[in-house]
Amino acid sequence: MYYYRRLPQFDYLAPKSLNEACSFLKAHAAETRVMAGGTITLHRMKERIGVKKYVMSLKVIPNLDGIRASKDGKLSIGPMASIQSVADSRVVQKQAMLLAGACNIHSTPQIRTMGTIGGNVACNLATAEMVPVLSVLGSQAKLTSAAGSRTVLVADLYKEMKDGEILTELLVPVAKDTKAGYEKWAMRKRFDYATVSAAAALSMSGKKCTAARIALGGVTLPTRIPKRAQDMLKGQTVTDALIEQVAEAAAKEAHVGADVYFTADYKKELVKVMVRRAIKKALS
Amino acid sequence: MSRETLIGKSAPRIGSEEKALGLAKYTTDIVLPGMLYGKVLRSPHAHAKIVNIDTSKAEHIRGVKAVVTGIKDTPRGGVFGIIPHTRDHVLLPFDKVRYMGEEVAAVAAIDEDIAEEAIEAIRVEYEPLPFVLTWQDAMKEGAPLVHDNRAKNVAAHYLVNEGDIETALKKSDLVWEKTFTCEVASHALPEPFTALCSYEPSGKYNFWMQTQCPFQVRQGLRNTLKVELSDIRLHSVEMGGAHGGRSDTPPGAFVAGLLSRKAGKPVQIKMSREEVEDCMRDKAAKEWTMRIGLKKDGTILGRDIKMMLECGAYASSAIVELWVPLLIDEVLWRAPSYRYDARLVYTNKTISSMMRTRAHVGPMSMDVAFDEVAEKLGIDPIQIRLKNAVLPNEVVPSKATVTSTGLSESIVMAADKSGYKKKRGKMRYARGIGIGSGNMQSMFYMGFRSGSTAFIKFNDDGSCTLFTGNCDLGQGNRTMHTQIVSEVTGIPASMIKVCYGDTELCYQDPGDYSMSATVVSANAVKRAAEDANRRILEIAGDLLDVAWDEVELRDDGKYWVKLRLGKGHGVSLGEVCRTAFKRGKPIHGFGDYRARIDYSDFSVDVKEPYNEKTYGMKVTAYSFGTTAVEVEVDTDTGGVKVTDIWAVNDCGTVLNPMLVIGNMHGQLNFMLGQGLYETNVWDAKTGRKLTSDFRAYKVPTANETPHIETYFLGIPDPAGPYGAKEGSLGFGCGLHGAISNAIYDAVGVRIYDVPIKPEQVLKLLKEKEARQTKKKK
Amino acid sequence: MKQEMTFMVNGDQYSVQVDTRRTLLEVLRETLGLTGTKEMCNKGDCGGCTVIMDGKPILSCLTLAIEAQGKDIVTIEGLANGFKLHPIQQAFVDKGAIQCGFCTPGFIMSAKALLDRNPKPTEDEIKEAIGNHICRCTGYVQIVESIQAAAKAMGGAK
Repeated sequence: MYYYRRLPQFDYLAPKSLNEACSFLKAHAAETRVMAGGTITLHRMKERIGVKKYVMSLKVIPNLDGIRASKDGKLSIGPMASIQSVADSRVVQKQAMLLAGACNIHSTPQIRTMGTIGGNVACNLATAEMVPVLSVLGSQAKLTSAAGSRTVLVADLYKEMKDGEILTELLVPVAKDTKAGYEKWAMRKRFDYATVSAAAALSMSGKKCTAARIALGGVTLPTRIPKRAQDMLKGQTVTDALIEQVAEAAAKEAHVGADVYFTADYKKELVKVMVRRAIKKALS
Repeated sequence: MSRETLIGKSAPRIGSEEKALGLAKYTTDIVLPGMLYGKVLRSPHAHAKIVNIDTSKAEHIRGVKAVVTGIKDTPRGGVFGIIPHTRDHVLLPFDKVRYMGEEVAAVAAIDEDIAEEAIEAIRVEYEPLPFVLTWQDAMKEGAPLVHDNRAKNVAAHYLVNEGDIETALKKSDLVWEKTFTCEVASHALPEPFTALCSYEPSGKYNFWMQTQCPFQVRQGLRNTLKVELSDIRLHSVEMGGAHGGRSDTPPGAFVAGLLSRKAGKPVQIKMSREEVEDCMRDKAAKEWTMRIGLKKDGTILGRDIKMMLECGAYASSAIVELWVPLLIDEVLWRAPSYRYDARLVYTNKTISSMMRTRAHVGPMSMDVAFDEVAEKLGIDPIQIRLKNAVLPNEVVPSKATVTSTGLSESIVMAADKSGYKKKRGKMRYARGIGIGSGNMQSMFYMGFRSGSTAFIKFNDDGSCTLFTGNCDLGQGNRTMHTQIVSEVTGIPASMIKVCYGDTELCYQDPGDYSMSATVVSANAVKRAAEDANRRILEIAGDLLDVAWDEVELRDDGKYWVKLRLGKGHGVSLGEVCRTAFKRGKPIHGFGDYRARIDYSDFSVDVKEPYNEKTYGMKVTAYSFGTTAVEVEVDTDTGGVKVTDIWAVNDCGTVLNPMLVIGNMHGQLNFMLGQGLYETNVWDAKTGRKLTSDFRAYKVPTANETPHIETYFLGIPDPAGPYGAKEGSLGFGCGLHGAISNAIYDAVGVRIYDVPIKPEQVLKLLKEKEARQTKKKK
Repeated sequence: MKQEMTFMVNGDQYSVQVDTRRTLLEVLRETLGLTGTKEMCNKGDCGGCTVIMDGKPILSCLTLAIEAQGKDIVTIEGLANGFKLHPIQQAFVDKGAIQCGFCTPGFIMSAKALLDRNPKPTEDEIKEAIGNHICRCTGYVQIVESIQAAAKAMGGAK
């Protein structure tokens, strides 16, 4: 049984441009760990999980941390923007309040300072809190590799992103009539990453819902979007009874694994409660 | 003109400035010239025979200066255990490993990277054995034995039988029985375990390590390293938390000693966080079944308790957890008949030790019992408690006397300050209030180490150094001792230095162990100060031509003849000290305090149940207290949030309120954590602990902290210095019962297990809902 | 792999050669001898290693030393003026918020980062700011009181 205090051996590189980074990954993607803020990478490597020969830091590549409103009605957020900077950004607060709000209540000041929004999204952890929020806003992720760039939905990132690709931009559509809400649950409200979370975005016409997106956190990745539950809202007058049905449906669709503290059944119950609360928050 | 007393004055802890500046040197900060870095290879199996260890590759790595294994390097015949009956721990084993993470071999190298590499190069051949992780499994027929000489894995069996419990229960109008459980809890100490050993060619081991009881550790190391007491020195250190988790001799220190001797250089072993959580100490899981018989007016006639306690792979100091519940449980609520049957059971898990909370579900069982029984009998829940609360000078069945208690007053005050009567049963659904009481001993029998001796050395200008074997873990003992010396002698605190916890310079002390610091160590310090003061007054009197008792110290810092105003002169302390030197009798003070404890003999070494006749005084003093708690239950998720705590502390005279209040907050945090947030989980297939860091083990942060109000009763204790007794533990031990009772008040469900888990609360709420729906139909 | 790096710590410039796998915490403590910043969990779960980098609070145990190249770091040793305590340090001493003291440097650095950007924080804002920190001795109450007292004493000053 080995207990380590030091990081393991690795070769560190900090490419100065996206091209440099992509061409390195073209040759060495399988042996390289791409590091953004470092809070996840270094934490895992200390536990000797995910140790690779190379650690490639994105920190000195220019122009990856900007936040700006782009011309085609989408917010452009650089992957290396810290979670705190996204929370503090006037642009995000104005045009995607759900995202700014979620960033503001994410973890602790240090983690928000060091952690990047791109790192949170690309790490593919069930507890990545930004993914449900970005998903319900219909966000897209630009993936760049030596072969070029392509854009995918953030909601599909977990299955789309390949070795050798770097997340280089997040595009968040600015929807004017969307009502959105985000709820999460953890034992220690601020310190712990959310055990279960839910984001809901509804386009409303009066009391009628014209379109809805729901996304879950803390569930098995392919079940993050409870499609049937989402569809139950479309074209309907939203009542408390409907919200309850939607919440139950979402919990049913979600696949959750038990963990050290909670059974799968309990976590499903939490999914139901979080979805109910997220929708109610959106509409309040 | 009399001096203003310091007793009852708040003052910052001595050493705070250095800590705030980041200049305080903890064991983890010490670097000695030529120091090597040690690393321990640990068992990957929960239970296995050690077949072979091949260290040859590791020994040849450049930069490795020593490699040790149990087979080659552990002196034979050295075993550790705080009492002879359960002395079962060979600190670097040579035959088998008994928990995942146990020490198997160790290396010392010129840097930590090489040490990590060397550890990976050691090849160990194990023969894995079946293991047990719960006391239930450990006691089953045919269960693997953790220690071959203990049938059914029972390390110790402790029986107490006072009065006649069967008759008492027969005579009762109501007999109530319930089983309570608590889980393994971790200390999660801020400073990771570090042992630094520098072996001198003369044969002496110099140690720096975090410990609550340097003299006990010295003894343990002497027995296991097979040297004389004078060959072991534990240096005084600044310590990053203890809370009961540094109560015995850690194998890491022993290993550092072996490595340093072999390498001929100082060796530092610093553990990682996971290593500390897996391989140091935990607090045992317990199952506590209580039958209680009462008259219909609520008077307790008898209590019948059965307790099972898991001690992990070695008994270590968990044996104390076995009899401490008796020592304090019997002395909280009156019970003319009292039977207590407890077993300490080995499991293949992290070793259990002591913990400041006890959290031994004893107080909780009574707090919940009172609430349930009061409801059944139609009695007021406060009145039933007051009826059974021990009273001052009460003699309990085992013939211990409760020398001072404010238990009843604390119950009344907690109820009053919290608005208990107004709120209980009357707040909105999901909000509730509950009350719980606890107590703690100040000093119990520790055999040869049941006393403390303090010594004060004076310089010729009157400044002095106090030598006390007592440690300062951060709670403020140093400050308390200085305050006492200053109070007795009038010497300003700035002129009093403290040398503490150094086994070479100081006399023996029980340590911060059994909460004795306030009563035992401080009393020894007070006597030393009084001794010194007497000598000062005698010489001052001599210089002033009067008897010693006609001398007084005035605000100008000089000694004058009492009542002689405006005439003559005063003598300074410096003059007194210099005169003393010239006369060949330098000022000094020597003080010793032995607790009066009738409880005898722990050197029982029988294979049969470890049975004690427990007559007479077992502790010097008991502290008491009550907490009232308000909770908010989230009925959708079962989450419980404590919003307010009112804590009333019966800790005798409060020497330094700001310090004791801080200690109280710490205790409430520990209790809150173990009550609602903290849980430890083992993998049943591998025996691996899964909750070994601060993210997995959920210690409460500032954001979980409720609003807390603290109150003191100030009823002096006859034995304590200036009437003070233990003040940071007992009052809070009723918090779990209070929370359970508050949840019942809020949502009508009862919880008997800690930690109280949201899943469990939600389950009970749904069951209650189902029952109510059924009823309606 | 060893690399040269230059950075500012407590107003002093340091040029050192570091192994690229060393964390900022390790370099501060072992190379520069600044042992005030503590290794408590070494994984970012306790806040004990908090320092201020370019004005913001970070966990030095999860920061590669090499990535502090060119940065401006303030550690606990950089707050006082000689032995004259910074108001936050003084408040911690005066309010009894220091028991074993091992978690103290981390808390003080987070408090400094908070008060630098929000000189008049509410109690909830203070608790949020110290939300990454674990303390076992104090139960946090006197720590929060210290930060409130420091805010008052500083009156908006840094």
